Amino acid sequence: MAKKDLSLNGALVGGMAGWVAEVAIQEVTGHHITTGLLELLGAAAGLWRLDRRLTSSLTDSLERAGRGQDQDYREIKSRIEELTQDLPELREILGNMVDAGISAQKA
Amino acid sequence: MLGLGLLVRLGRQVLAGPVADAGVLPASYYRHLVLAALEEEDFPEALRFLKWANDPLLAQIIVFRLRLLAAHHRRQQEAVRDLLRSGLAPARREQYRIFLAEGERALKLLREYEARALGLAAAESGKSAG
Repeated sequence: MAKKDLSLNGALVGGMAGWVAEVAIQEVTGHHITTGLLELLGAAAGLWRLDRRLTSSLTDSLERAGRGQDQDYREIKSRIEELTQDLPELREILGNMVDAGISAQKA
Repeated sequence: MLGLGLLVRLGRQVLAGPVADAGVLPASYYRHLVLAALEEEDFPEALRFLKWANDPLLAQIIVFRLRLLAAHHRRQQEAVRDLLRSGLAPARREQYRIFLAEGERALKLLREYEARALGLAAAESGKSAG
């Protein structure tokens, strides 16, 4: 029993398993696998990150629309409506985001 | 750890290169490529992958961003024209004329990109409706 308590093979396998887990966690939480292989496999982590990236793109677009408008939400909304007349889905999404901004400003 | 990192990087390079250009990868991968290109304001790259992303909203975002950029260029052009109307030294005047010509070229390019993105957006909307 004493021999098994100090199993060299067990330590090696445990170490390897820990190393693999560490690498996996590092890659999944970092930017390597999530932007490449896991997404390719349709993994949930990748899809979540895609949603986050899309949201970030919408927020960035809204921020760009507001540049030089002194953050007046009504002016931004009018500008968005002018530029998205033929882009119905985007118009609705950005309109909702601006409405949320107006509500927050009022509160 | 280094070996696995290199393998992952190599895999990504292969996927982002010839394999991605073949249009055989899942649409979510192409959405990522489009969004990554958009983050870099690399419109030709975004348009290159847009046709495989199957996402009309992405196409609309690109059109919107192109229009915002074009509007920004037009405002700059207008400001430079105002400056040209005021009295300027000939050397400075020439510089502003070159700037205007470059701006016109940029606007033309942006219009071309917008037309391509609109075409893809219409195609995707048609697919979604059908």
